[in-house]
Amino acid sequence: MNQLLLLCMIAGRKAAIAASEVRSVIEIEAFTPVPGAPRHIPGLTALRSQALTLIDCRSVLGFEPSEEIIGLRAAVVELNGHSYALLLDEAHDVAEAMSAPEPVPGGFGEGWQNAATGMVETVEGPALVLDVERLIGGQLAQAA
Amino acid sequence: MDDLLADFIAETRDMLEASASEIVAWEADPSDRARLDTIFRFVHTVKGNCGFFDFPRLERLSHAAEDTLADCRAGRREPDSALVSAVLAIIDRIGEMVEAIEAGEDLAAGNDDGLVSALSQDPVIGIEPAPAATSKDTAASGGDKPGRAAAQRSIRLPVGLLDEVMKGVSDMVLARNDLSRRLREQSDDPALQSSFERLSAILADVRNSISRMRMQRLEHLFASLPRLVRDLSTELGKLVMVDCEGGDVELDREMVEIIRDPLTHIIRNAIDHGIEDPAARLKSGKREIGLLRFAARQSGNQITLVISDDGRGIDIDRIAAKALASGLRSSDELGLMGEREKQSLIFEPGLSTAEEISKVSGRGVGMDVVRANIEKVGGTIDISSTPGEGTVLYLQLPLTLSIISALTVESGGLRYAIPRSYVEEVMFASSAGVDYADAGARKLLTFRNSRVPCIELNDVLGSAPGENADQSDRTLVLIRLASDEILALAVDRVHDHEDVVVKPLAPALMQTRLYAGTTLLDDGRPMMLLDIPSIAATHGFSSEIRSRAAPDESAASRGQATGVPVILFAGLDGRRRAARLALVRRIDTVAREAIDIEGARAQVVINGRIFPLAGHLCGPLPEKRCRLLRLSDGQDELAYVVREVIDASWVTGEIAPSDGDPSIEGVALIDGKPVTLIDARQLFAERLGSTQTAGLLTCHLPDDDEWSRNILQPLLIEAGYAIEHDRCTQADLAILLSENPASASQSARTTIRVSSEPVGPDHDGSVYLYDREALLNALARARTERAA
Repeated sequence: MNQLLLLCMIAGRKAAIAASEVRSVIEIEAFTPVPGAPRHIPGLTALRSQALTLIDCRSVLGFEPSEEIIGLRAAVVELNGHSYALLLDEAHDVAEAMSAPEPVPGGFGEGWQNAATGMVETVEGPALVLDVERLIGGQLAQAA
Repeated sequence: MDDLLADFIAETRDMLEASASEIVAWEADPSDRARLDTIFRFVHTVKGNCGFFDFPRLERLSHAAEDTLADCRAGRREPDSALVSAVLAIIDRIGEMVEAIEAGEDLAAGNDDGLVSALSQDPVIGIEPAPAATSKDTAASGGDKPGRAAAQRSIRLPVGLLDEVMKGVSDMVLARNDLSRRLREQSDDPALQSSFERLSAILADVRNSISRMRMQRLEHLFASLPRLVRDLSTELGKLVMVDCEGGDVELDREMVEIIRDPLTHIIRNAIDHGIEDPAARLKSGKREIGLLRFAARQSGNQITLVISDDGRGIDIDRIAAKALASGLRSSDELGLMGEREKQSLIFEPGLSTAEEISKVSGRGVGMDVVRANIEKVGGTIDISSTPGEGTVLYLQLPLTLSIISALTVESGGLRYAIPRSYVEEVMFASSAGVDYADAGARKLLTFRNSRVPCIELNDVLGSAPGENADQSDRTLVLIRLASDEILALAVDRVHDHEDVVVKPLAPALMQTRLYAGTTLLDDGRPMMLLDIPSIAATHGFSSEIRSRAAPDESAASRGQATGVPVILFAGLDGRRRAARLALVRRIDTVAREAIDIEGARAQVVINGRIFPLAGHLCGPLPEKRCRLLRLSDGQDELAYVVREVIDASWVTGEIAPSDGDPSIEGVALIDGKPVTLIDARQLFAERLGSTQTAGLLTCHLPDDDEWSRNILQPLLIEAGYAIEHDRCTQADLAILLSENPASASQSARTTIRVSSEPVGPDHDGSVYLYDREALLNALARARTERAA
C-alpha cells in the first residue's frame, strides 16, 4: 500500500505532507505574535490547552512571509515533544500516493529542493513531499 | 512537616516492599554483592532521612546496620548467617517503627540494644530476633491494621497520570470559557446562568486541587533544615546558623522528594568539612557561628537552589592528592586541570576527603550520589569555593510543569508574563521621586537612594512602541536579579497578577533568549513568559549564577575595584560637589514655598514632614522648584538643596582630607576633575542640634575630653539641653573650663564656668566640676535667665 498524504498548497504549488505525521488540520483563528523570533515563526497559537508554534512554510521555502495569517489552514505536527502548526495556503484531502517517490526534478528553487524528500503522483497531479523536520528547522532558502 | 513525614513514611514503606525480595535473596546467599549493596542503600537512606526527624531509635538502628554492612562491603567482615539474621531483624524493626510513626504512636519507649548488639562480631546475646519483630511481620508487609489508620495516609501516583488529569482540567477550563462566551451571547436565563456559575466554581476548585497535587512550596523542605542542622552541628561540636530564602518558590512535589536526599548530604558535608569549629573560626577572624545559607529562586522553568557556607572552603590540594591516591586521576591529568575542575573532583565517585569516618559523613556515599540524583532529573550541580571563605553549591533544577505566579505586562500591544519572584516593585515613571537620565546608550533611573539601569521592553523585543510611548507615562517594573542587582524594565502597562502554567517552548524560540516558556491566557491565547535572567545577561548584567557566588564577596570586590559610590551634584553656587551615595535616601523636588529659612534655622516641608535643610547658604535658592537630596544617617534625615543632580559616579582614587572646613569630608577626583565631597555627618551634627531637637536649649561643651563626654554630657541631656558640636553656631549655653580660657571665645548667651579645683561659693561664679548639685543648680539658673 502506498503512503497516505495530506495534499495542500504552499506558495501556489502543490505539496504533500505524510499524513502519518499530521495530527489534525486546523484553521488559524487567532495567534500571538512573538517579537524577536526567527522570521519563519510568526507566533504561537493554541489548540485547546496546548500551545502550537506557527511555522510559515512560505517563509521557510524562501518566499515572502504570509501576510494574513488568520484564516489560513495549518497542519498540526509534533516533533521532539513540541507541537507545531505548519501554515498552508490551502489544505485539500488526504489521499494515497499513486507512485513511489521519485527524486525531486530540478527547477523548483532552492527552498523546495531542500525541503522535499521526493515527488509523487497524486490524484491532483504531481506533488512534492515535504519533510516536516526540515520545515520546522527553518530557513531553507534566502527569501526571493 | 506533616507532609514531609508522610513522604518519609511512604518512601520507607516503598523501599521496604521493594527490598523484601532482595532481603530473602541475600539471606540465601550472603556473599551476593549486589543484594548487599541494595540493602546498604536502604539503611543508608533511612539513616539520612532520620536526620530530618527526631527518631533517635530509628537512627541508631539504621546507623548500626549501616556500619556493619559497610564493613561487609569493604571486606572487613564476612557476612554470615548470624549477621544476616541480625540485619534482617533490624530491617523488620524499622518496618514496625514506620508503621508506629504513621499511626502517631510514641516511639521513645522500647529497647533496641539486643538488636544492635546482635550485629557485633561477638554477640553477647543470642541472635534471637525480638519476638515482637516476628509477630509484626504482617504489619511490615503493608497490611492495614485496624485502629492504626488514624493518620492521613498518602499514596503515590505515577506522574504521567497527574499530567493527564492536569491537561484534562486545563482543557475543561478553556471549554468553560468558550461556553461562557456563548451563554452570554445567547441566553439570559438565570437558572442556566446559576448552574453555569456552579460548574465554574467547582472547576476552579478542582483546578486548584490538581495544581496542589503536584506543587509544594520549598518551605516544607526548608522547615526541616534548622532542626537537621542543629542536630548535626551539636553532634560535631560546631555552631551553625541557618538562613533560608525563597521558601515560597513552588517546586514539583516529585522534585522536592528528589532533592531532599542530596540536600541532606550537602548539609552534612558543609557542617562536617566546611564549617570549622568555633575556636578555629575565631582564630581566623570569623564569627563563632557558621552560616549555612539556602536560597531558592525560580527562573522560567528552572529552579536555582544555592547552598552556601562560610567555612574553610575546599582544600584543592588535598582533593588532588586524594584523587591521585585513589587512582581517579594521574598526576599528568591533575597538572592540566584548573582550580574549578579540581574542585569538581569532589563529585567523582570514590573520593572522600574526610580523614576519619565520622557518624555524619565520609563513607564515600557522598557527592557522587548527590550529583547522580540531581542529574537523573535533568538538573545540574556546580561548586565554587574560596579557601578560607566558604563553599557555594549551585543546584539547577528543571521545572517541566510548573505553576508560577506571574505579573502580566503589556508592550507593543502584546501581553507578557514576568515571574513574580523577580519583581521587586512596580511604579510609574510619572510618580514623584522618579527621575530619568540618559547616560549614553543606557537609561538610568534615579529614585530613592539608588540609580537603577533601565531597559525598555519594547527595545528588548524589538517591538514598536505602544500607545504609552511617552517616557513619563511608562510603567516601571523593578526587577531584582538573583545576583541582587536591580534593574528597571519599562513597559507600556502592567495588567495583573496571575498564576500561570508554564509550558516549554519550541527550541527555535528558546534560542531567542528572550522567552522562558509560554502559557495560555484564560481566553486560550498563548502568552510568552519573559526569560529575565537571559534578557539581563544580554543587556550586560551579570549572569545569575556566577555573581550569586558570594554576594558579600562580590560587593566587597566591587567596592575595591570601583571605589566609593557617590552622587554628583551642583550646589546652589554652581560648584560641583559629591555626596556619598550610601547617605542619599532619595531625590525630591519641592516648590520654593516649602522652604522656610529664618536666620540660622532652615527647614523644608516634604510630604507633610519637616526636615532640616542644608546647602542653602552657598547660593540663592532657585525661583520655582528646588531639587533636594534627602540624606539619612540611618536615624535622622535632612534635606540638602542643590541646583542640579548631575550623575551617580564612583570615587576611585583617594579622598584628600580637607583641613579647614569641617563641612567637607575631602576632595576627590571624579573623571579627572576635583570635586568636594560633603561631610554629611557634620551636617547632621549641625542641623539636628538646631532642628530635630527644636525647643531644646543648646549647649557648647568644653573641648572634647573624657569628663565632658562621659559626665557632663549625660548631665546636660538630663537637664534638657541638646549638645551643639559646631563651635561656630551660637548656643544657648556654653560650659567653659576655667583653666582653659582659650575656649572662651565661644558664642553663647550664657556661660557656666567649671573649675577642676573645689571652689568657694563666691569664686567668680564657677562651679567645681564634680559638684553635681552645684552644676544642676547653675543649669537651672541659666534656664530661668533665658526664659526671663
